[in-house]
Amino acid sequence: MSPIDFNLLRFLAVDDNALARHVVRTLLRGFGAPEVYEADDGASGLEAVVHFMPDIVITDWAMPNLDGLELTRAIRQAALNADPYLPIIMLTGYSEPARIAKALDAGVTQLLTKPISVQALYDAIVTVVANPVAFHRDRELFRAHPTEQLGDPPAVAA
Amino acid sequence: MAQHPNSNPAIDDDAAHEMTVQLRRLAEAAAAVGGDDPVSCAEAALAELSNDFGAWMYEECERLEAARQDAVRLGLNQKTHGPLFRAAHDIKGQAATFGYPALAGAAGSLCRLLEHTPQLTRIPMALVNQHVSAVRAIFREYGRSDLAEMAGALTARLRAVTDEFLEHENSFRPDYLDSILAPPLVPQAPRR
Repeated sequence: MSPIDFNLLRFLAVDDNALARHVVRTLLRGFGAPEVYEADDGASGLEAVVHFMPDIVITDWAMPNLDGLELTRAIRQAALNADPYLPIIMLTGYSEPARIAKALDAGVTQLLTKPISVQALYDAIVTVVANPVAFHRDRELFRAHPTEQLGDPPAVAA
Repeated sequence: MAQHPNSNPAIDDDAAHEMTVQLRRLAEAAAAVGGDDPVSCAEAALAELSNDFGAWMYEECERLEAARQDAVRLGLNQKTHGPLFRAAHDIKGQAATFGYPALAGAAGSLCRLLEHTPQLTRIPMALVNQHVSAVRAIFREYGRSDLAEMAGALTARLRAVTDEFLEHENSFRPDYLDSILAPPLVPQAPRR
């Protein structure tokens, strides 16, 4: 049994590579998520965040126009009419320590390095849904604080 | 204990309502129980795509070759650098998923060359050509019994030449050089 219900979640997959989006969409549908929206770069991803109000964004890093890091920073700006705390899972081919630190400092909630592991993607989604973390925010950083769990999730209205 | 992110004064009423709905969906998803073994279901769905992986990898290699040709024709500049880098980066990232993990090393070496050279115009086009030819050759010869040795030798040579070049080009910024020569934080994909 999955500890969360994917059927209730709305995803946005952002990647300039159509084949990569196809793979992510296939995995998310396989997990049981019926609503998977797609965008082919960071700029259209940002529009899709405002338009579709996804529960979780899954984004690549290296993209034209607006890359995944810039997309994350834009989402984290409170001026945007979208949840600045939206869970963002970044799938990237970058694995250098400096790159990973940069992504986390920008506000990426979970970072997975490619190649994609089905189990790792599943675990990342379960973590951001079932165990949301607090964010540390200042002028430079917007970083998930992994050791500081939020309290109970918000009450579900009847 | 931090506050739960449930409101923001800069967000208008309609958006705030949408966000409340969003948070409710997340909470409901966390409170509910999902289906049986979603990982196996997703793996099965991915396996159904696997017949297409060879054609997809071919498509990616052709995209890399087209980007290389543009770079040769127009020179390595801001316009040609992005497509070439992203084509190599996508192969590096997707090679294992598509069943061609031996392509990742050569593609990754090309990414390093393109990413960490301070002046694009100083990148030797011959070294770019060698990387692209290696990626395509490894793909073309994927059925060979000695593929692992061939891909390993090609990749090691390309990586050594690239690192030597990067050391020279970045000698004026030793901190940066240290950071790019540091080992990655994650294990490399297995070679086949």
